[in-house]
Formats: sequence, structure tokens, C-alpha cells
Amino acid sequence: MNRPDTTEQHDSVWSPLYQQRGFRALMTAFSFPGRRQQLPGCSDAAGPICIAAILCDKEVTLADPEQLIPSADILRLGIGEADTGQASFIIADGSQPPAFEPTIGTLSEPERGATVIVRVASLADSSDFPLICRGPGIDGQQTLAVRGLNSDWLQARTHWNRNFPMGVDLILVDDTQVVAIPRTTHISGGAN
Amino acid sequence: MNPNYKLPAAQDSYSFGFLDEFAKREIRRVILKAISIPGYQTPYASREMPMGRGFGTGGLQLTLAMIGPDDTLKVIDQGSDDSVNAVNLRKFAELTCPGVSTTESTADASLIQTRHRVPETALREDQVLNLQVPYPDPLVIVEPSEARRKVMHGEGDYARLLTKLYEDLVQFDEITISHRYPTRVNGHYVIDPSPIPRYDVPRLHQAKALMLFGAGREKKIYAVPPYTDAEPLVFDDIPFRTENFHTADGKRRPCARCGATDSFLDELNLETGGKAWQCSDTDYCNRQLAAANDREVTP
Ligand SMILES: [Zn+2]
Repeated sequence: MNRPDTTEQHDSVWSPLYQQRGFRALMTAFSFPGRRQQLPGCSDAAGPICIAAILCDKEVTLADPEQLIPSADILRLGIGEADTGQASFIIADGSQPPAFEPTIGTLSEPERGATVIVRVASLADSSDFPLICRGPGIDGQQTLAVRGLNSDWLQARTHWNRNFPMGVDLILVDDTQVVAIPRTTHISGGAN
Repeated sequence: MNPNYKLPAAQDSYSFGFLDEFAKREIRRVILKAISIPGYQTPYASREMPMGRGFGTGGLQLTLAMIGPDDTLKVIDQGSDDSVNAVNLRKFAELTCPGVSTTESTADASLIQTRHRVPETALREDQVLNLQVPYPDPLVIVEPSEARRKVMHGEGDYARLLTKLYEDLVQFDEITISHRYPTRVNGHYVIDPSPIPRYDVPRLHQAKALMLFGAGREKKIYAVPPYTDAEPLVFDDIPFRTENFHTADGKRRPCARCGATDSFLDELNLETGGKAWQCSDTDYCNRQLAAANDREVTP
């Protein structure tokens, strides 16, 4: 059960302090899409599990088709598992093309569009895959460098987000850093 | 709320920030969706707070869900840090969030909770403004059914709202809405920007800081993200005008206290029977006053 224990170390991903600081990194990431944010340091989990611990609990569902989260952590999260087509959160390996159709919500309830946590190799500076982001939260344009993201993801999200306000929001995460790409972000450029 | 409110003796059973971790996590998830869908009234399960709804519970829940010991909090009500409501909400935060600093300075705050004003001092990227909202849906005046309003919002269909505004215009010869001016966010959703004056509406547009709106009674959270268009609904032939504070002969009235001619002024009724105009933002007024005094001291 994702009920943070106040006696735990503050650098544990399950501590309230970690989750508060981690949320602020995520809130800043969503406020400024495409801009890298450092997750707070943590002793017992890497990026994708940190995101799940910050956002997920028994009140939401998560699909983990590639089993990226160890079963002990799934148990600890207390989270309901669901198919990729229904889950409110999906966790996936960015190096592979997305092999699912997430829910995009409805015209009246667009917030039901899924949040996809995408594990990538690195968000550190690199010129391998320079993307140009535009949209709300971005002053002009924002360059994003990411390693380990299959370019099919960009086509898939364009398809998922074709009818605003419905759509899917992405959280790219490596071991320690995070970049948010909400449905409103327009992306151009890329390797192919 | 009761200004003498004290937490029950078993304080250990309370989380930092009063809300339990499940409540915080839900509000956090909703905040991220609200940012992802600018202007959309995202529903959430508002928790009971030890004060009546209508006392800023929506804004307070936003603040409590995000605040941490690294934060410096400012709470204002109609621009003032000293009003009873602002003082009580600040006390509540101090009581339930040990380690958090509070401030009256806009520039020093990382989080600002406000009712009825956007601070005069321009906000930065590293600041967040949480606005308290009594009535979140601008479509209520033209459509009683929430289900139908949700479809109209989704389609970005504001034809009936525009018609209503236009009727006002024909009747009164100008847009008479002084507060809560319907504002279109990112070209799609129209929001009720909360009871801020028209003067503050342009400051939501392409701001550097995230602005979040919390309606506790209606259980809605919505956002104007940084660098996002926020445009008052207007007609081609009638420009949007903010309050101008001009005297009869067309001069900009200065603040009676600090002399500023670039701030939103409150009209005060003097005991002597006359009127005076003074900055509504007390922090801004104090700063202008201090700067003016400095200029007098240093030749
Ligand atoms: Zn003044």
C-alpha cells in the first residue's frame, strides 16, 4: 500500500517528503514541457518507479505490460492492474515502439486520457535525437535531447492527440531526470 | 474558520499539510491533468476541511497538496496579507506545515495563495499562484445542466455565452462585468478567472508562473500554465478595457499612500466623508513607499 511511512528515511521513495519533492519536480516538468527536471535523490528506486510511487496508489490503475516494475513494488503501491486500453497509467519501455492503444478520455472527461510513463536511456544532453517542442508552457520553442526513444512514439502520440481536448500525456524518465510532454505540446524534428 | 483552531491532541495521526497522503496524491494527479488540459475544470474529491467551504478551501487544498519544508508561502486576500481571512489561512498553514516559512513579500514567496487579486509584482517561473475560486463555471449563466456544459466546454462552444455578453453590451453600452471576466485559455476552454478585477486578466496571459485555480465547493481544479494565451472574450467592435482610475479631467489617480500610478486602487470612504484611492496590493504599496523614502534620504 502506497501509504508513506513517516519513520522512513527522507530519501526513500516511499517517504512523504520524497513524494512531495518529487511531485514538485513533476509539476515543474508539466509546467515547462520539454525541459528536463532533476528528480530528488532517492536511495531505493530508479526513475520510473519513483514516478509511480509519487502518483499511483489504490485509487488508480496501472498497466505494466513489459513488467518494468518489480512485483514487490507493485504490491507496495497497492495499485490496481488493468489492460493498456483502460489503465489510467501505463509504464512502457521507450526503446520499443508502443504496442498498445491507451484511453484518450472523452470530450466531457478528457482527464481520463492516460498518463504514459516512458522509460528512456537518457535525457542528458545529446544531439542524437533533437526534438523541437512548442505549445503551452514553452516560451517560443524548447529543444529536447533524448536517447532511447523509438521514433514511433512521436507518430503514436500525434495520433492519440489528434482531437484536443482528448489525448495522452507522456512522462519521459531516465534514472534521475524527467521530462513531461503533455498532449498540448507540438513536436517537430527527430531522427527520422 | 475559527482563528483559535487547534489540531487535536493526537497530532501524530495528522500528515504534514493536514491532508492525508491519499488526498494529496489525488490532488497532485489532478493538478498534472489540469496543466495538461489548460483551462479545463478537472474534477477532484474535495476533502472536508476544518473551515466552511467558501473560505478558500479549494485554494488551500492546492497549497497543502504541494507545499513542503523548502517553501516560502504568502497568503493574500484582496491584495492584503493582513486581512482576517489571509491571517487565518496563513496560521493554519503554519500550524499544519512545520518548517515552512511564510512571508508578506511577493518576491520572496515560492507559493502564493490568493483571493481576488494577482500580485502587482510580476511573477517568475519558480513561483506558483494558487487562486481561490467560488464559482468555477462561466457557462452556468447560460446552461443549467452540468452534463451539457461539459460537452459545450469540450467542443469549445461558447456561442451562447458570447450572445449573453453581447446583450449586456447592447443594454449597458459597455461590458459591465467588473470581476470574473470570461477568459479563453490556449484558444479553447473559457474559464472563470475567479473574482479578480478586469485589471488582472491581462496578467494571466503568457505569464511566467503557473497559475492554478481551486474551487472547493464545486470540487474543480483548473490551470493557466506559464507561457499560455489567456484572452478575455471580446467582440471585434468593442475592445476589452481594464479599470483606468482616471479623474474627471482624465489624469491617472495616484495611490494616496505611496503615489504609485501603475497599480490597482481600492476606493476608500474616509471618515471625513470624502474618498481616497490606495493600492489594494499592500506589499507593492509598502515597497513603493520604502523606495520613495529612500529617494528622499539619499540625495
Ligand atoms: Zn500604494
